[in-house]
Amino acid sequence: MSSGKDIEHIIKDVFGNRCEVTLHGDACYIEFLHEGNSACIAIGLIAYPDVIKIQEGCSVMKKFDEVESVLLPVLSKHDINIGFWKSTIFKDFNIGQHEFNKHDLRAVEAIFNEIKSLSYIQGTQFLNLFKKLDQVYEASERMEVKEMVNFISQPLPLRRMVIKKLCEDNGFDDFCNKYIESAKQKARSSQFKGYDLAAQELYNTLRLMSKSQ
Amino acid sequence: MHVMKWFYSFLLVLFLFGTEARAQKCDLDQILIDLQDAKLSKAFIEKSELVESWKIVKDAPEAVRKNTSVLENISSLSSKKLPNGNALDVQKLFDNGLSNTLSKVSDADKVKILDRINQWDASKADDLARRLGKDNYPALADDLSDPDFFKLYDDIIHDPENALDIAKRASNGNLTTTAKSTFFNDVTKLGKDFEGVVAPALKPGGALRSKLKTILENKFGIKDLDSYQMFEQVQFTYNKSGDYFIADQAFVKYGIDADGDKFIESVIIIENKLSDATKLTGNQSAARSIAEYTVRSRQISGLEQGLNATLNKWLRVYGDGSGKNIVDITDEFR
Repeated sequence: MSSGKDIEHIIKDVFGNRCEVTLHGDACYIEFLHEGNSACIAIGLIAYPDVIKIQEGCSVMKKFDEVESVLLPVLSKHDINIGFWKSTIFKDFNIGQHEFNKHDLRAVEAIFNEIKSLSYIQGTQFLNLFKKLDQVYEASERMEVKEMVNFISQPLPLRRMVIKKLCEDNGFDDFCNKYIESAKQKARSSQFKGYDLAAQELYNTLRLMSKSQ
Repeated sequence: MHVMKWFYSFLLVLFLFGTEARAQKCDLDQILIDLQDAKLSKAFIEKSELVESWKIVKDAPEAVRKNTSVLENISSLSSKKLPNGNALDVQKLFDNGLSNTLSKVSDADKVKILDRINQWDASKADDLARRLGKDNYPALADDLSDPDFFKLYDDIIHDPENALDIAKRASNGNLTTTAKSTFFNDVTKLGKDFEGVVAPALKPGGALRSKLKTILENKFGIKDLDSYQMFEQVQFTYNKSGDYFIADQAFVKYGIDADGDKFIESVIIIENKLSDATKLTGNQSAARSIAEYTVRSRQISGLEQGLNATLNKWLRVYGDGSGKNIVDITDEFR
């Protein structure tokens, strides 16, 4: 009789001992270090009593600690909690539909070997393009907002405030002030409750940061 | 005083065992040993029917057969009648595995389990006896000693057509809970089969797509279903206590504002029910009356945990009970 732990061990064997694998009923996270920052391949699962279905949309995500260490305390204070694995940037890609019996450990190994091959092609290319935050900044500044929502994790404008500050964007103050005003309008909607206060507090924090930070 | 009570108990037992006593010398020896327990001997004097209960579990471990609360529950079970008028075969229930289950749990859990079984119809207790039999689910007796698993069994036998929904909630975060016993595979199979029929039928080109569009337009004024993305098995929290339900299918329409903040414009929840008579689960009913949800699923590409949805519409797809055929899609709920 196999357990969730058995499946976790197999996935860890497939992806290598440098990875940390966490298996939940609705998701699997394969975490590893990329250029000194945490990265993750996130796979959605649907668990039935006998089988697990793998959702076809998969994400590779990267966390820039210099961004998240400033942003996450502010988000937490204002109860803005988007995304289970808090990332700075991400890329979604398709890994196809898979399904395996929980007790067929060979099938688990075969499927995760296939996912590893796909995620190495998609994920490594993406992560290598964005080793440093400067590269994220430069790429995002060339994007339209519609494109950026598939690159910078939500809440996107708040993350952009931090990225702009850390990358010494000349328009940092204008961007923040414009967003704070916009967030005040949006905060009436329950979907954006607290965004105005978070934006103002984040701006205050960022303004006090020296360039060397 | 203690010696006197023991003596009276001894007389009582001799009386109750009667002429069978010689034939059942082993039982008599055993009960005389157990009667050295003052609480048990007192219980036998006050409630003579407990001796019959003791006889049912006489081969069970001491912690079961000397527990007076257990014996009282067995006595209640013994008075239950099946729909055909016969008495519930409590001996079979315990011999097939319930003694084993009870021997593995705390005294408090022994009582909780038996209290619960006492609240069931006799036929449900008889079903359990049958399932515990060697030819059916041999691991079930051990599995039922896990309190979470027992609750799952209890929930499912009271709402068998929603077995899959109940099992899915229970398996969240614990992939092994529902995989423990083949019992769960069997009782959830029809529901799983039906979901496998409904999901493709709702996708573009699917057999139900056209009817889905018609009903959305007529009932809710939604004319742009093709702008929605379909997700399967999405968990939504519907109150601040963290209660949630799992939508079999959720059609989600996003918005991105000029700043780049993502939001959910609208969600269409589709519940799959095996037959027209299958009701919503308690959590589904509660959620349906509430306007605002938050995505609870940890990882669905494109549908981030924490996003809020405020305009929610519910539809129900139901089948003919076989798990293979769709009968209709409707906005009416049972």
